[in-house]
Amino acid sequence: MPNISVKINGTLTSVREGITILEACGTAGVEIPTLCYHPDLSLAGNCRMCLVEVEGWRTLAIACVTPVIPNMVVNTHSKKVRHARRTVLKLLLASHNVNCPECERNKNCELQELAEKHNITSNEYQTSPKPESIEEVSPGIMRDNSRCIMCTRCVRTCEELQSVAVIKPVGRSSSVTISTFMDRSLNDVPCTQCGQCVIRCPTGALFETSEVRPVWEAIENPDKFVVFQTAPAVRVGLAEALGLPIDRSTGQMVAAIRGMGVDRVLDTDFTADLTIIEEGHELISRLKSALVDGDESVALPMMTSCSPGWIKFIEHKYPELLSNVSTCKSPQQMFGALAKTYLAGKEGIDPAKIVSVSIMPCTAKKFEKERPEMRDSGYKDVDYVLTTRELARMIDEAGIDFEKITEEKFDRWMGDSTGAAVIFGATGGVMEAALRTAYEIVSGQEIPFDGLNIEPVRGMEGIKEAAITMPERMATGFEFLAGVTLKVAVAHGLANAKILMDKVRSGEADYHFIEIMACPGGCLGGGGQPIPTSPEIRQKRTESIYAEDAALHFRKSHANPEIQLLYAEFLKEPLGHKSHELLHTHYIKRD
Amino acid sequence: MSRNPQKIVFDAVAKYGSGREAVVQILTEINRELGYIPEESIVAVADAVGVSNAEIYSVISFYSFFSTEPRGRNIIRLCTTISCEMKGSREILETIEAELGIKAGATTPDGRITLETTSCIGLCDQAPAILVNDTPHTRLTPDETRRIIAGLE
Repeated sequence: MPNISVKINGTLTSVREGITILEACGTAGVEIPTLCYHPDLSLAGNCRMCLVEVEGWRTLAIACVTPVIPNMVVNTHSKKVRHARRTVLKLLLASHNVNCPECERNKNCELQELAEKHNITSNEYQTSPKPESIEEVSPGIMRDNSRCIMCTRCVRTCEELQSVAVIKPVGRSSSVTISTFMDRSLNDVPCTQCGQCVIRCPTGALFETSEVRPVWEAIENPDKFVVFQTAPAVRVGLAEALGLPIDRSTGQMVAAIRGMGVDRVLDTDFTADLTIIEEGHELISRLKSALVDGDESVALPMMTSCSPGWIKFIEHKYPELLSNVSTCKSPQQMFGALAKTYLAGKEGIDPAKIVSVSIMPCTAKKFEKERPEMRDSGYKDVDYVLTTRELARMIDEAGIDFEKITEEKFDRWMGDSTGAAVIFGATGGVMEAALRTAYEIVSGQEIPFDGLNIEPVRGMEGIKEAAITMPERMATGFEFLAGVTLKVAVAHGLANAKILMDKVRSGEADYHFIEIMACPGGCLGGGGQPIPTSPEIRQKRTESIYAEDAALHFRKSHANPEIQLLYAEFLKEPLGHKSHELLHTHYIKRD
Repeated sequence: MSRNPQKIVFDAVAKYGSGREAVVQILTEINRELGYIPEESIVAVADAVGVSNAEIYSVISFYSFFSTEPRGRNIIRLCTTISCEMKGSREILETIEAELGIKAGATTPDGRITLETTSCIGLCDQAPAILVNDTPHTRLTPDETRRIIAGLE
């Protein structure tokens, strides 16, 4: 497209033809307020926050959906525009439950911020305040439609990014609400609990089901032994959730949690490494059954099982492919099962006294821990799940100065981690970690990528593919893989998962191994991460993740010393009896 | 004798296709034949068109002539928009409610008549107006309204 000339607030600017007024203003450095607009989503143009004046036009233009034309003269902050925007804001606020101090999104709300910026101190349209109406309590997500402004970001997220489409506008005109099929609970429709709607909601109409209070109670109870695990992506999101620049903050995170009075601060990365050992062996075992024994009942491609939103998605949408999913529990649930068995033994603590809390970038993890299968330790393996945002609120409440706190290290037995585990937080990370280990198990040599960085599976492309050819000389027992080309695929965001699954179902795909993460960008873009999200924010978090990987001494899961100890003392061998009892699971078909 | 809900969807898809643009036509057929759109039909339409159940439900909720609840053999739709209201639709509503012993939105216990209010039906010049099934009745008076109701099977 050629460039055209437009005048924005009196300054001539050259912009690409066909872009919107909003985009043109962006390149000119002029900020326009928006609400229904989101960089990850299609255009809706329904909130009217971004109205601008175009000279010669009878009415104001909606900047986010109106393309620029040659010689357009745009005024973004004229008297007429400011008046219209204030009216739009007041009308939105008039039908909004303005009870900010009690809202989860207080001080992190786009509507509140705009009201402040536009000096809305009184509202002549305000009638009686809308009553609060918690319409939904599902394990991961709550809804309060009295805070909803009908921007439909959640609706577009669910359909466009996740291909789930369980929430839609229902009704007409002033009686529209965002609802579900037959107005059911999110529990009773194929919602994956991924929380992508939550991190795109401009207000507090959608938020996580909080467990902050019971976790404080457990910490304050002297009879309880509180064990925290922290997921890989939390350490690149927590600083941001506390209002600091995006950066990794592993040491500060550990220190802050310990400062809250938690008995042991341990790492989900430890069980991410364990997942790689178990899942790597499972993949090799499946390949052997298929290639050597000719067993046609072995399901290939094998698919990863770390992302609980993805698991619930496949249980609803592709139940015929469930045997393809690795039987490995997610790192969170492996950790839970070991905390109340292995760790209890190591620490000499009665497992009944252990309260197992996980800090996750995820809302679906709250659903996962409630699955009836997740009690293999003889107790509920994970008692509470907090999102990155909930942890930030606890750190604030404890009065801890995160910026100034001295870095500390994880506690022992389940606190060691490797770079391979950290990258679980980014799309492609599980695949890369698995390949680093599996290649070495079968060939006895390191995978031949510069610095162990498997670039083809990294990055933000929706679906990534790679093919890795095994060397001719293999380790003893794995000769059947000599010269075999291993084909892998990685998808993030469930709309991309759907594309891959349709290919697998039709027999069009010939992959051996597939990694799926429910959320765009992987866990670092999870529904429990700081708000807002955008491609740029996810890119920055990704850079933090790979920086952490590069900085760690051990880069391969099987090099983790505590993992080696765990096998030597407790599990004995990968896919062994104990592993099957504690670390593996099964899936169910859901309507 | 009505066709079963799946059969109606199957036949309607054969007639109108399975694109998103066919949804309203398909739903109209179901609603006409059964008097409402049952849950199983919504699921069948969603499957045929390849969209979520929630999307079909959303479409149904937009149109006041569609219902997801069973309704009476006859449907009286009373316009309550401004022109009809100025010409006395409120009195007509009270007349019908008294005559049938039900409130707007309900169905008589014998399943004979469902009473609904509706937005403008384009008969402002002949207000107040009702639709009885597909037939308009205009310039209504309470007496005329009672006579119409008495004539319904």
